[in-house]
Amino acid sequence: MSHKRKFNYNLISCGLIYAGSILFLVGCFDIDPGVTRIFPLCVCILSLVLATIYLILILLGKVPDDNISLSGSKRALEMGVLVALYVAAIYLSGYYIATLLYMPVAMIFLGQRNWKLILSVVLCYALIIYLFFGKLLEMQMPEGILF
Amino acid sequence: MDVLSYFLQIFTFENLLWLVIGSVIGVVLGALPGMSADTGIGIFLPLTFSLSPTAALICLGAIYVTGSYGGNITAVLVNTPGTADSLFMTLDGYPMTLKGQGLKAIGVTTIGAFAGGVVGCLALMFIAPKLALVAYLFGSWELFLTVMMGIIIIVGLIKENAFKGLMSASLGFLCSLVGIDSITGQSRLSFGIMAIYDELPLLPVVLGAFAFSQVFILIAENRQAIVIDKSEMKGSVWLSKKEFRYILPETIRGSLIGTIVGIIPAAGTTVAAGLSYNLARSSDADPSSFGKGNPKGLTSVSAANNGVVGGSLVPLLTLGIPGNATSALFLSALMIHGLSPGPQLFTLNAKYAYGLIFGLLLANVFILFFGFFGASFYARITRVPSSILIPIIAALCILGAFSFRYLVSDMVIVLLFGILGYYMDRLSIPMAPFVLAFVLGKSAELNLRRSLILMEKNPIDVIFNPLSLALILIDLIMLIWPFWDVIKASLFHRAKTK
Repeated sequence: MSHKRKFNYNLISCGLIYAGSILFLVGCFDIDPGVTRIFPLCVCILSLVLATIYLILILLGKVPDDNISLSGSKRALEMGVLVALYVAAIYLSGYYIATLLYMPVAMIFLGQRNWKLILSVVLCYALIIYLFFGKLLEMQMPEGILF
Repeated sequence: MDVLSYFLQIFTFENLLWLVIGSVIGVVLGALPGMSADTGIGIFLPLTFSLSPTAALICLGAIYVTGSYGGNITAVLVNTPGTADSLFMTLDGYPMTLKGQGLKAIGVTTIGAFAGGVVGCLALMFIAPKLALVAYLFGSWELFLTVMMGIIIIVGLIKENAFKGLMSASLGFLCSLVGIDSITGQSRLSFGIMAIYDELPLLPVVLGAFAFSQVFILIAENRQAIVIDKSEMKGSVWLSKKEFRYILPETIRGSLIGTIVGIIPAAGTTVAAGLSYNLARSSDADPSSFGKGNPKGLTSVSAANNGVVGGSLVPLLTLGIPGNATSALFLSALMIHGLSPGPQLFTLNAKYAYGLIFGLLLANVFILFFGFFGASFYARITRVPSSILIPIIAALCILGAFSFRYLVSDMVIVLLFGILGYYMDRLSIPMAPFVLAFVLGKSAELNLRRSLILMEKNPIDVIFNPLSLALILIDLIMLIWPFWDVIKASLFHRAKTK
């Protein structure tokens, strides 16, 4: 019977730190040599050293898997795309119109099917935001470039 | 006029009205992701121009007090801290909610916040001038050591995952260095992106990492609601005598820590909360229970957070040195109303100074009111279906991010850090070290570089003074303490082998 070695998700953690550190390390070389560069360079090197030590510990089998699971991430990322579209809509049409479009779509995506509830929540939310932030606090709301 | 007269002046219609308005606004803004006491004070400051100085200071003080508390509610119930100050709440507060003890958690945090606020106010009233002298002693090197204490505390908090915590902190540190160098004025690590040319904005990053990531976590976990049915919400918001006695020592200690740390400029609630939590955990008979819904952990943070309120006003009122960003806004309020901070504030203008202090005390009473009588209302949030709660949280986070600098790019930043926060959570990379290092990193670098400049001329005086040596010792102890059992076991094993 062959035993497939289970993938250690801590390698992804390591990769994430490596990616961030290398990105900032590259950025450091755009800084003029001098005092401004030293501190970020030191932190980048420290970060890389920590990630390397952690990688060695993982390869030596000293770091358990911690039962990490990425299940459900696809659905979470789909929501991320929806929010990105929401931000784009805010940029184009302003906060209120974008919210009136985004919230029903998001609720339906998350499984809500009660139309009366969806409509009530959306309208209440928009009204409360308008009254509290727009009128009472006189806060500047995001305005779109089209409307 | 004596102190009693100063106290009685609070009870005019104008002062009480603005106390109530400030208290309500503060708790609402503190609870909303992206909003905070700073937002409330900033917005209400111009509205108070036409008020008497006493009413104005009372209103702004009430916003400060209840704003610090407001973030605790959403941190505890929904794991979305309203402010960066409340992120330590999530360590034990949210686990309590998941165990169905959300009401109890609100009761605990309310008592902690009340106690911390009262201790801070009493310190402000009785020992402000003496305590303010301590602020004079803190130079750049001492401030660097204090800030590093806040970051080293991370190691103590995530002992089981120390390496991941350190890596997370280093990433947070790097993010804090993006933008304009405070000393040379050179922009660095912005990769040509104008939105982050001067800095990675604090609020969108913290909001994304802690609050917005929760949106993705709830979706991935496929929870229908945070707490599914009413029967899962066990207990009551009111604490029994036994429960009260259980949390009392940590409440008192947290209050004192928050007050003392609040006096130190730039230290802030983050350091106070972390220090208080770490001490509570280290001194407990069962440290492993922390992070899993231990009320002591929750009250230690809550008390420290609100203790900072009074503490941060000590150097402000006595020396004109703001203890944090919020008290810096207070400085503006004082100046707008023709009041100068310093000794004369407690002599020539004692009426206004004590009016503020007593106003703060009364605002702390409002915390009890909001907490104990509003708890069952807030707790209903946990039963709202995720399909409704998630889009609302996301929309509020987006709005909150925009409100910081009124830039659309900040909405993108909150989304990106939300995704980063989600993956860090799924990969068991602790988020708290990242956020702490991000919040404190710039201050650490600035104070370190200033210290190095000073050390070029006189290193002995900079390093070898009593306060500096004491802080170095404390930092070393806090660094080694979490691993002391391992070190001791290793030394014992070697001795036994020999």
